[in-house]
Amino acid sequence: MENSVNTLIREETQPTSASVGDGKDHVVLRNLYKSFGDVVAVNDLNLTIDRGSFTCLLGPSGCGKTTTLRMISGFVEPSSGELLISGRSQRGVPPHRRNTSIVFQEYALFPHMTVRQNVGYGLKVHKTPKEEMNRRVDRILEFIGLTAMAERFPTSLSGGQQQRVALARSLVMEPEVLLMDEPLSNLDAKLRVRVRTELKDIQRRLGITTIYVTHDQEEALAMSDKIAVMNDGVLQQYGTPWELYFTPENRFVADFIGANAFVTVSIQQLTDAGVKLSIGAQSIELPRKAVAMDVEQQGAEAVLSLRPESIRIQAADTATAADELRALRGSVRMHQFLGAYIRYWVDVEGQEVIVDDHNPRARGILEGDVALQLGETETQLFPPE
Amino acid sequence: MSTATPTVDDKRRSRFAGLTDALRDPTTIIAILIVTLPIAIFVLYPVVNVVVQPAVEHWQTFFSRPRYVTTLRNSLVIAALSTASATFVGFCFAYALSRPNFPGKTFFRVTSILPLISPPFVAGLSLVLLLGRRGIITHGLLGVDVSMYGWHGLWLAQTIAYYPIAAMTLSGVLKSLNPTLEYAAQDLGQTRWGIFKTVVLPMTIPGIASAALLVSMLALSDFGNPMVIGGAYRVMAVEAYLQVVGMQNMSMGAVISVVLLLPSLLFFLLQRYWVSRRQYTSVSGKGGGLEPIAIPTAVKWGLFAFLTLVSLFVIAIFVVIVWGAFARTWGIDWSLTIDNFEFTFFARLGHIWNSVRFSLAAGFGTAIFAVIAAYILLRKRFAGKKTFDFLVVLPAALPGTLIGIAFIFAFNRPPLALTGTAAIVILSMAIRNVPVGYRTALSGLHQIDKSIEESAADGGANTFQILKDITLPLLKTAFTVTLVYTFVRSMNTVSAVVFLVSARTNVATTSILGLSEHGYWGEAAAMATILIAITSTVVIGFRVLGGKKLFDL
Ligand SMILES: Nc1ncnc2c1ncn2[C@@H]1O[C@H](COP(=O)(O)OP(=O)(O)OP(=O)(O)O)[C@@H](O)[C@H]1O
Ligand SMILES: [Mg+2]
Repeated sequence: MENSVNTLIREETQPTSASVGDGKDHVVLRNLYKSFGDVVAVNDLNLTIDRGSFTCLLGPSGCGKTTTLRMISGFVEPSSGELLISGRSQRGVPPHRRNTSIVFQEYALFPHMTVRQNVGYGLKVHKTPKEEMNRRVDRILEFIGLTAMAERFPTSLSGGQQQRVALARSLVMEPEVLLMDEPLSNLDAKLRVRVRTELKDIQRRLGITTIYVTHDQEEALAMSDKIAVMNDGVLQQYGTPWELYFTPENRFVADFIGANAFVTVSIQQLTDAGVKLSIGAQSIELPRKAVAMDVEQQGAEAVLSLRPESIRIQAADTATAADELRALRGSVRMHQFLGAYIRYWVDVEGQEVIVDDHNPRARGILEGDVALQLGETETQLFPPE
Repeated sequence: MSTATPTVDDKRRSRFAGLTDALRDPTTIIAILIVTLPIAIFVLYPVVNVVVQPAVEHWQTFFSRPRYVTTLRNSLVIAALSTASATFVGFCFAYALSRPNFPGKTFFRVTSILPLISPPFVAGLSLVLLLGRRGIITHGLLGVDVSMYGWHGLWLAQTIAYYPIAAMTLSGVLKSLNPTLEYAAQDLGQTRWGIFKTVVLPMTIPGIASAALLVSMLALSDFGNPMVIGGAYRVMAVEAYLQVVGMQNMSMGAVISVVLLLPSLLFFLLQRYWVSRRQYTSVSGKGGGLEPIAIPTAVKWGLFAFLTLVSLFVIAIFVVIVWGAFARTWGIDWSLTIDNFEFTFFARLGHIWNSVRFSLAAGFGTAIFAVIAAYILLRKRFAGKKTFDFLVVLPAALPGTLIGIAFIFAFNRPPLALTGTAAIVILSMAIRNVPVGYRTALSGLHQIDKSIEESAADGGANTFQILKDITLPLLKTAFTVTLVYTFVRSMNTVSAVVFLVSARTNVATTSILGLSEHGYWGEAAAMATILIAITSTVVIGFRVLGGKKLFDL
């Protein structure tokens, strides 16, 4: 198996690298803009996607993910801006001339063709010699584990199998760039986790540049090398899952990825080292690097974003004086015991903070007044709404 | 519970469970009888009765005399030609209308609905006025003495009369194709022509077969067009009429109507048990905002030119009918007059009035019957549902000629001596529209079933509320659509009623045919104009008053 995969990988990557060179930037979007009548679907999008990487376009429904993907595949013509694949402008290049291949959300398998005919369709269109076609189809079917299903019709396959046939149909074309539009959304939750692991594995073994659309943050975090978070057609942040999670650049990203509490604060004092904030009657100090905004004004309002797992909770009377600098005081309003952790809803000066205690046995269930110690780096300050 | 395999006894019990249930619930039996008795009396009995009428020597005569064999061959040839051309034109219309970048869609929709709401033979009648011996094009413009009478005129007339049916069937099929499939093919490098050839066309083949079967049933049993424009090219439906009405040769009429029945029944069964299984429904979902792929500019304008030509022809047909109605003597004296309408008014008003009231009666009868039948099929538990369903849609397989002749045989003596009455005309009209009405009602009631399930699942099932807000409106829609549809079709029907009308119960369509048979073109055109005016007013009025679309193109 490992051998056949290796030959597959070699054959996959050789033609592309030979013909287009080894530039690291594979797909480049420059000020890409698309409007449908009054609706701006994609607004001035700039992205540079590395060769061989797995990139997610992530965002809520209607944010322009599909439109972006369709512009890359060529089904939608951008209103303005430029798209480069391997350094070549794609303006006016029709979909079938682009070295991209798309896997649709609803698979779009041809119901009147068998699995084999579906997978071989693109090769047949390109007039690949019969023996070569059979060889490549067989290899990809084996690779994807569907050899036994080759003569069946798509309607007789399960959702996950149909998904893999659709993927095979794209992969057999040995595209430079693989595009996928929410390919897992028709599968049930359990299967989704399994197939996404398989998908990622296939992508990693083939080393194929992949752009993947999803609105599921967990899927994006689990699969991506990089994630582009979009909202209302505008790119919010582009970075590794790590960066997005721990250093979101704005409130939207912080809110969209992971659970978060937002607390309104006012800025009291700014030094090179840190920033002093007040929340109602309390005040705390944060290191300067936690501040995502250009904080110039003293007394300005700001929003503090707090990750539930980055806050340490303890009973108010056990807090030491040394902790006090970065601690907030509040009282527990509610809790839920979830096995691995306890989730607390804590009232701090009339605002709600969510805190997860991942070591419940150490402290037991807390009630009444508590002290919340904020982590140093996982805390972000954003401009007010 | 034991896990033992079911005993023979268990099996028998489950097999007859439906039956015993029905026996325990007398209302079910009554309900089933309400539907099956009329079908038995007015469909099964007459058909079986006519099939057994002819003796062996009648069959021998039919297959040995060149006159009949030629007629049979003519029928099959013209039906094949018209089916091919009407299906082709229908496909062009449906395909063009399914593409996002095709101009003038509304215009083409309207011109395709015109032939649907007028008697099929209007095409033939108009062709005579356009291209006949005194035709405006042949005689008036070109001054040539050619004639459209014969197979070529008939072919043209049937193509125009039946392409809208094919277009309607295929339009539904093409609309249900998931556009994403086309994009997937394009993404894999396929050209637009290749997409059409390897994706759109193969997936539409079952639909094309379906449309072709439908058209061939209509073309094969067409009576009006061959009567008006067929001339010496005689087909079976006309031959049957000549035998029965002209020569009182009832046995030969029976033979011919049975010969007409066989292919019709075969096509019906093919459609029901073979083609319908092969329809491709998209695996899941629709194309997520993707429109079907645009057609290339050259193809677009090519199609546009072709559809425009057909549409102009359709329009010409209706213009000529109206013009013919106002012309003093077609082909000789073009001056305008209202004499033809005056004649209609004084001499033939009764026939139009008969048409209207018979069609109304048939419409109400069919609508009530169809809704009850659909309700019983969906709501009652009983054995033999498949048979029940088959019986209700069976009339769709029966050529009008067969119904007409079968009715004469069945109802010319007590206990059901209906010959010459209005009832026999109305019954023949109603029977033929039961299948369409029943299907409409079925789909309406399916929706009711769903919404009841949903609200029951919500826990808020309130029977009265459901009845008032969901059941009645949906039933009303099914009822009114069937009523209007049956009315329009009955106003235009001719092949069955031509055997059943008497001097007292004559209707507009047969009256028009009679006039044209004797060369009273102006009077025939005037009556046809009135007929078309009535049906189109009803159809447009129904639409304006918020009725559902009757013809979905
Ligand atoms: N063909 C179209 N015509 C008009 N508006 C469109 C079209 N396609 C997309 N839009 C609009 O553009 C915006 C972005 O749509 P898009 O399909 O890219 O969103 P998405 O991020 O993929 O959403 P989802 O998660 O729901 O699939 C939406 O407001 C949508 O209504
Ligand atoms: Mg989308």
